[in-house]
Amino acid sequence: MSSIDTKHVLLGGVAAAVILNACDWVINNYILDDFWRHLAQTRNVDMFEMNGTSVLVTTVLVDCVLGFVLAWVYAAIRPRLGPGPGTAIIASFVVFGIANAQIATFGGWLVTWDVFVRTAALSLASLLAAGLAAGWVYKEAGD
Amino acid sequence: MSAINTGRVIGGGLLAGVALNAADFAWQAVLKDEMAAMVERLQLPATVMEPASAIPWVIVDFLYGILIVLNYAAMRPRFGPGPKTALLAGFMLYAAVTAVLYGFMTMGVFTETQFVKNAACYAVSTAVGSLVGAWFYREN
Repeated sequence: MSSIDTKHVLLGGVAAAVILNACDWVINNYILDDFWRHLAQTRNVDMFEMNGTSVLVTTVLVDCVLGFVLAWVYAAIRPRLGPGPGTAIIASFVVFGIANAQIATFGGWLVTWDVFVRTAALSLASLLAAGLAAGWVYKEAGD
Repeated sequence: MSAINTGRVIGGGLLAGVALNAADFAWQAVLKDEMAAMVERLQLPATVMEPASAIPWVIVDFLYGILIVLNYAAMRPRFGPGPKTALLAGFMLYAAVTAVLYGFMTMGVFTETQFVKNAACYAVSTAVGSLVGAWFYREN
């Protein structure tokens, strides 16, 4: 079995990260804007800090990590499940499952369940798009 | 390439979930003070500290266990069976979870100390869960 093509994992991760960041920018600034404002007010979180540069930089970095994890998982499971969009979708569901399961533990106290369902649906859409992009970019010798 | 052994993924995942829950239960003693401080700081309802509020965590640990073993099973043809692949499968998912929680920390939901302690405890839980789940997994 050939080893993972690190260069293509990095390229796939960058492609996935660009899509995740673009989706997050739209989601957080337009779709969930009211929710973040409400969370800051009701949970004693500093709105200025929440909208600050460090949060923006962190969001970009978190999306980069998720993008690279997506590309890496796709590359790791490719020999078993075969190359293509089906495997990319499975990789997306694995990352979505674990990230959103963790956020689900905040349901009912930090975030309301309807907000959780909305954020999970939006996160699934962006991770699927990012996973497909990572799978499309990732190539191995012989492809 | 043989198909993934679904029964063993679920069995191994549930076993990993038991190990994750046991480890998480043990960490409660380490993380209790930070949790109580968070409840006060974020003006959360006191019910957050009640045993019933642990139910979602228990379910999530089982789901986490199943995803780790599924990842391990899917990765096995590339990296080979064994504890190294098990830890790799667990820590890739751990990286995704920790990145998301780091985002919440910078927003002010968690303190830095709370995040670091949680991440360290969860790393140990993930390692234990991954090894137990992978130990149970067998191919057809």
